[in-house]
Amino acid sequence: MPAHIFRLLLLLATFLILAVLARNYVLDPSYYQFGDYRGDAVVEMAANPAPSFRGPDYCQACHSQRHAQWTAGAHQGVKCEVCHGAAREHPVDGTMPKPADTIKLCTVCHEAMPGRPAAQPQIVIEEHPVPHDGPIQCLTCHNPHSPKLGGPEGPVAPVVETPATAVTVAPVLMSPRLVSLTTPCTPCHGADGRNAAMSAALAGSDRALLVRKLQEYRSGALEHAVMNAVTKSLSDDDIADLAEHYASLPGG
Amino acid sequence: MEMLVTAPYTGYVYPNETIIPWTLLIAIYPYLTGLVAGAFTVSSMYHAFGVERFKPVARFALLTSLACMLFVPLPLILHLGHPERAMNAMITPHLSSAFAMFGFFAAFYVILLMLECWFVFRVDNVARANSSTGLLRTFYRAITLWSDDVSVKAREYDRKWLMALAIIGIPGAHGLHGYVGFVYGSLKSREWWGSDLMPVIFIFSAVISGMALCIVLYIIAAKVRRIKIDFACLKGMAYVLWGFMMFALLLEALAFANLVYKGKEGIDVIIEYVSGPLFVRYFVVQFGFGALLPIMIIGGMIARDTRGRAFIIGLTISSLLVLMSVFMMRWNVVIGGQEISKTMKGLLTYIPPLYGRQGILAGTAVMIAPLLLLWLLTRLFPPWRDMSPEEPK
Amino acid sequence: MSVTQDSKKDKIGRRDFLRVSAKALAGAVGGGAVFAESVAQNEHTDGTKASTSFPTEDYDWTEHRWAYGIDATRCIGCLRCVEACKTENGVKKDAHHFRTWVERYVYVEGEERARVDSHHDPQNIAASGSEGEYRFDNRYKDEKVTKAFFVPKMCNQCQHPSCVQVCPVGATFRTEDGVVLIDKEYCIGCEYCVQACPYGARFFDEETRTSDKCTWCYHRITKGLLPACVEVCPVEARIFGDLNDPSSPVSKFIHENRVHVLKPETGNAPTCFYVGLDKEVS
Repeated sequence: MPAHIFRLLLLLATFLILAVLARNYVLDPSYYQFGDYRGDAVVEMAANPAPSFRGPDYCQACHSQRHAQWTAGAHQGVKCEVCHGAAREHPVDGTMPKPADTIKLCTVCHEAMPGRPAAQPQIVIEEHPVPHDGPIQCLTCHNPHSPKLGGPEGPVAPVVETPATAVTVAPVLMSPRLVSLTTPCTPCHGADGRNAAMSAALAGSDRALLVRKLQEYRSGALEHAVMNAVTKSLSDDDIADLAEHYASLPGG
Repeated sequence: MEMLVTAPYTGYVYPNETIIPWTLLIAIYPYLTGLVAGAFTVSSMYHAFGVERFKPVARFALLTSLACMLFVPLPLILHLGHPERAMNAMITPHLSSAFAMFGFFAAFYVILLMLECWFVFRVDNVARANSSTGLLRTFYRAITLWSDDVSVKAREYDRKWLMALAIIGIPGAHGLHGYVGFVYGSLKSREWWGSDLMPVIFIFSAVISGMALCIVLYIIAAKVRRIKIDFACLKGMAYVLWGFMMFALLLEALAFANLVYKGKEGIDVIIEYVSGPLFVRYFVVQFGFGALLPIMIIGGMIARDTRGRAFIIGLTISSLLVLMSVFMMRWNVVIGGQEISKTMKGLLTYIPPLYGRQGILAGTAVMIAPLLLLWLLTRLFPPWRDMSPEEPK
Repeated sequence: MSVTQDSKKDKIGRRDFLRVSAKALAGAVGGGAVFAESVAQNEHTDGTKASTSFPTEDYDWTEHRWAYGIDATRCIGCLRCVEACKTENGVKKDAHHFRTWVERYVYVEGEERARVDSHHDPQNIAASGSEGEYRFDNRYKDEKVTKAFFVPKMCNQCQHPSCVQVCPVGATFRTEDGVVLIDKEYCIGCEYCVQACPYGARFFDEETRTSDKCTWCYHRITKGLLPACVEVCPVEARIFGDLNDPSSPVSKFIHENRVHVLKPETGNAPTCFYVGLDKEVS
């Protein structure tokens, strides 16, 4: 064999051997462990990252009262972090944001839209609770943790809550029964019945007038989405007590 | 961080499709491998099939093939998210992947091509080693592996090796480029790509592009070096080009007709695409100016036995049109396929950026680089003696 | 240039040939031995043998066969899943990178084909306020809509994944518990898998410069948690569970419903099962 052929073959063989040796040197030891991939990759992916969404059980540890209210309410399928964002390492990494623009947030699920199944409660924004111009924040009437108005499931009043405080602050002289009856009224009419910004001021009104109005809302003779809803399950005694209460409040 | 190039769309496309994954670099890549395959075919006419007519251009075509081949990885490396990990495909090739198998095929082929060049220029390199001094001498000595054996016996070995390499090289070169067609043809996710004819179409269009390039470069080189063009050789190349062009056009037309005839779900969006955004690129440039016109020009020249300067001009124009047409074909397949959404309900538009790793400037540089390398290679390994006996060895 | 004569110094004698060949052969054998040994071994990088529970001490992937259910009749298109996924997995908050997304199909009266839109639609982006927030606009509220619905989409975690088949380096693969993962340390970013996926589920992540897709929150399910999208869905349109457990939500979902998969003609055999698909859903 001529020298140049021999040297060429030697060169090719050397190159091949060096290539194989280099390959084995750089080959990851966990490759081919279970198949044509790095076994270590599965370990890495199972371990990282730490979960961002922690789930309602994580929230319950500190926010037990809110959690209890939520599990009893109509929003029990909507987990905390859906509206509040991922808990991550809260409280270590700071307070969690409270949704500010509730119209934007709540209507993402509840805006009436073709395609949404009928089972989903939906509203036409401009007509809820009544036809209106300008925005009405959902939180004005609805407790996001138990949003259904009236009814026995839970109180309606939305409040700013720290973990240890009670849900609502009750007036000192009211009986528990009265507290329960007036909580649907408080958000719009104010605890003292004087909030005329949203609605009629009730404090000091004529008792008979209040009874008649409540009866008309209850029967539907007067149409008002919110008032119809909150009066639907009131008994005659309830109406009498409510009217007595607001008529006795200072004001007018 | 590069600016995101997002694609405007009509109809409905999947949200993730609004960034086109395979860019102009990936259209350039099969163009380069096509030139490699085509130039190698020209060279093989003489080195494997022994057709004496093509001797003048054989070694020059081989150098052209090598120059393009050495730049073939460049568009891929520029496109990869992690080019430093590119060797993973050879360290742990996933055998079911066409890309992985290509890694070995390409490595095998580039070695084969270098070996063939080595053998074909060995005797001349030995002569140059003996007549050079200094650094150049060292270079030639190294490249001849410090052997200056040009005896009859040594050259007999060379001839046998060359024959073997040339013969293996033909399926090698066509497999190299046919696999590119396979990559597209084997995907079921895109109607525009998934065709059994795709590898064949790619091979035929590769051969015509390489052949056209060799014709153009031969004419330019002859002009620059003031060598008389071997008319028989040129006409021979024209014949082969013409024949392969008709095949290529037929195959491409059949593939398209097949698609329309089957009329599967989503065909309405394909028709919308082909008669709208793709119309000029496809029918006017690729098929019309790029295929039918050169076929008619060359056919006409052959029929009328045109010779001399008129023939050279006609052939040059035809070859340039073919080069443009084959590039357009690569573009229409690679980019066109991605402009038809996988939803079959929408179309996207790819707008290449000017700057950046995957921009028009980078792409142009990648296309010009092999020509510069070829110039360097012809300086180191001059093939001019083949073209004219008067040229110094 | 004359041909040089055969010179003795260029001829290789038999003895020399044997000597050099022996050295070359020894080198080849040595190299081969190293190669064979490295292939045969099955060790972690720190030299310990693989432990019995893989991939974690508390989670054995051979015990689970995960599957996913999507009830498109329940989906309200609130897109909390899309936002949760991006938060949980660090996906870029724009309109071009989605591990999961929701499509809206609306049939307007008089039209046979549905109108389809999703989060990359400029009107939806305007309604949400930015590309990083997700919401469907209400453009059809004054139209005569005959039928409309939402279809969540994501990686179908196929049993015969096209993406795994085409990956040149083995960076994407299917685990023993049925999830198709991407090894971000190994992926070269060639995007062949992005092309091969018939569902458009994969995309290129410019941050890591690798391909990316839904992993069913592998880092969560191996800890006994649900994927983030399933966790936040307020209407139980997304169901996840273990097929090995006949009482799991997904087993019941498949058992109690006529379920479909997307693009069955591809032969990919997805493990995402749908209820409520329509002729227009592709």
